[in-house]
Amino acid sequence: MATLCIRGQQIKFCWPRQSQPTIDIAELAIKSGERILLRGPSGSGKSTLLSLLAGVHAVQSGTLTVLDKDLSQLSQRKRDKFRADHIGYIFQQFNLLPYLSVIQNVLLAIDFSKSRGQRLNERNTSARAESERLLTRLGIASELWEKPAGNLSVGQQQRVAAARALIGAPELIIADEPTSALDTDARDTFLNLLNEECEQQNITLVFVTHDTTLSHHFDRIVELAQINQGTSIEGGEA
Amino acid sequence: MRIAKLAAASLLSRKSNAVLTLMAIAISVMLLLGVERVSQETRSGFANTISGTDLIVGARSGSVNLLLYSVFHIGNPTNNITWETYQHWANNSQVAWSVPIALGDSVRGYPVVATEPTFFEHFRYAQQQSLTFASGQAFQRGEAVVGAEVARQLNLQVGSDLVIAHGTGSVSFHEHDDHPMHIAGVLERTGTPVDQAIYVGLRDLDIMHGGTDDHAHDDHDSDSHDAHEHGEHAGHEHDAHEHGAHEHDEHESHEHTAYEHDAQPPIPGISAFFVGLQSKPRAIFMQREINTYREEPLTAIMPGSTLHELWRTLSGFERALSVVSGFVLLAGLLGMLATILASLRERRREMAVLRSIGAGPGTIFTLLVSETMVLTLAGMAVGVGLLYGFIFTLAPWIQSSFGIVVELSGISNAEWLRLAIVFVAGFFISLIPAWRAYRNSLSDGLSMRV
Repeated sequence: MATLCIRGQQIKFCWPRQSQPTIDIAELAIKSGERILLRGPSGSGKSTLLSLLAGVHAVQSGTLTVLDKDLSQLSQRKRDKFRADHIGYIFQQFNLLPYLSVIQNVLLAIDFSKSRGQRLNERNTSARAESERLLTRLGIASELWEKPAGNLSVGQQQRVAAARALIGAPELIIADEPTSALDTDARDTFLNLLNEECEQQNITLVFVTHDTTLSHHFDRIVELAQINQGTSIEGGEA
Repeated sequence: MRIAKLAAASLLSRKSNAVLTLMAIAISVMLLLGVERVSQETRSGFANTISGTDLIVGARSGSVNLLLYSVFHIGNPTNNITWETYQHWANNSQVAWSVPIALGDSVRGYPVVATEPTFFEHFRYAQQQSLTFASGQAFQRGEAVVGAEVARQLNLQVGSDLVIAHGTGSVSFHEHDDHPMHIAGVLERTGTPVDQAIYVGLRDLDIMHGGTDDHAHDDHDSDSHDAHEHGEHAGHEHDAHEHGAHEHDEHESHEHTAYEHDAQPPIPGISAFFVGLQSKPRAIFMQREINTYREEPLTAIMPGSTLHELWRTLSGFERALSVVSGFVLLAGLLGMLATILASLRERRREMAVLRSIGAGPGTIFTLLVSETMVLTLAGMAVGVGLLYGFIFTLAPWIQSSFGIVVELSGISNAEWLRLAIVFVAGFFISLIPAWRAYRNSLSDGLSMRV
């Protein structure tokens, strides 16, 4: 069990004012350190599943255990704290607060989580030093660090978002189609860097995409359509 | 703390909106405090204007009108009192002292009050404070005493010459330049209309208006005087003129006698007189007695109660202003509400990002409350700054136009209360967008609905 990062059993979730559950998964198991490609067509309930994994919403029945914590047993506030401490999240786009500088955007993750800061302390590094390391690693030139994040290109913004997700070594990173706005070259670079960092820090990666060409970057592919029995009428992928 | 910082950064990113909203709040705060400040200063200014005088007596008119022209030098006397009537009451056994005043002339817009030198002994303001001389002394024949503000504005010292103009406007077409006055004294600042006035002897006023022939010039003949409004003019009543030449001759022969010489009136008519009584509780009987005097229609007022009456009249106005400034504040706050609510729609992404890094709906709520409060507090600070800026620049003008001294003092309790009201109102207003954002963040979660 200890090696499982995510374990879901009989999880069901139904949006308000909908008769059928959007998520109805009998069994979901993702090992720690595993890098998973979660694939599904538009409207297959991907976003809903991610918000369950991230603890934004709670399952209505069944158990969903992330890092040995049964999320359904936690209050909203505790789930928010859990997310801040243990989960890095990367959106498809618009990950950054455009009015903060690049470095401030990265440090924001530390601002919201004491334990991320503590982990950095244990490694004898400061939040500032670590964000600079990550930004350099992800190819963001130092002259951009103090620029407002809104000035960066989409590709650069996604890499800054990755740095923010990675800082303080959370156990799990959830990426919701972070490469869909990037061209093929940028996509591969981005994925390679993300993978390397995850590998080094033993971070579990759940990467959502409907792009089949990316499969070779991952340990395993989970087809959402196969495991989810829920009827999905989500209004498209956001 | 970090939330407040985030709120400030977010506001800064929407600078133009934030600044406009802030200015709306600032202006309404300034108005709210300004109304309070001005009415406060007016109230204390009024209350401090006169004390120690038991009765003020003038020709029959409204009591507020009498108070305004005799003490504040605002408006004009309706009519004059004859010197004989004044003498009658001055010699009343109840009267401890009395000081006549005659109004109607001015120097560059500053009123000239013709009186007797005993004025400086008996007149009291604030808490029974008497007038003191910054330099010089009381006037004698051909001399004048000026208030502190007049001396400052017109740059007058003891020994300067002063030409008095006919009428009370700041621009006069008729100056008594044939009879320049010598400045004998400059009064210490009092913060009352005394600062704005010029005091001369009754006799001198009469002479200026042709009461005697010793300095009479062509431009002082009765024709040129007819062109002016005689009714408002104390020292030069028609009746007095028509009494014929022999009375004028009498004046002439006594032109250099002392004022105390009761037998010869220094001036035919006066505008009003201040009375101090032997026994203050008698004031109400004395007032009645004067009001029912058969020889001449008179009005006697007790300054304290008339000040009250005046203040009651003005307090309605003050309340109306407060209500209006309250509504201006409400408009400012609603403007802020509208701006922030509108911004919420375009900031749903921002909220999703914050939630993804662990901000709970509670944090989003706090963020929105802080944002609104940062705006409100900054608006309040700027508003107070504007208020002081205006007081600093406008105080001299207010003083010279209305005789109200607005001091650059600290924030009073009443003003703190109003600031607290703004703060609380801002807080309640902030709950609305905060609640909206809270609900949005619950339903949106991590999805970025734009």
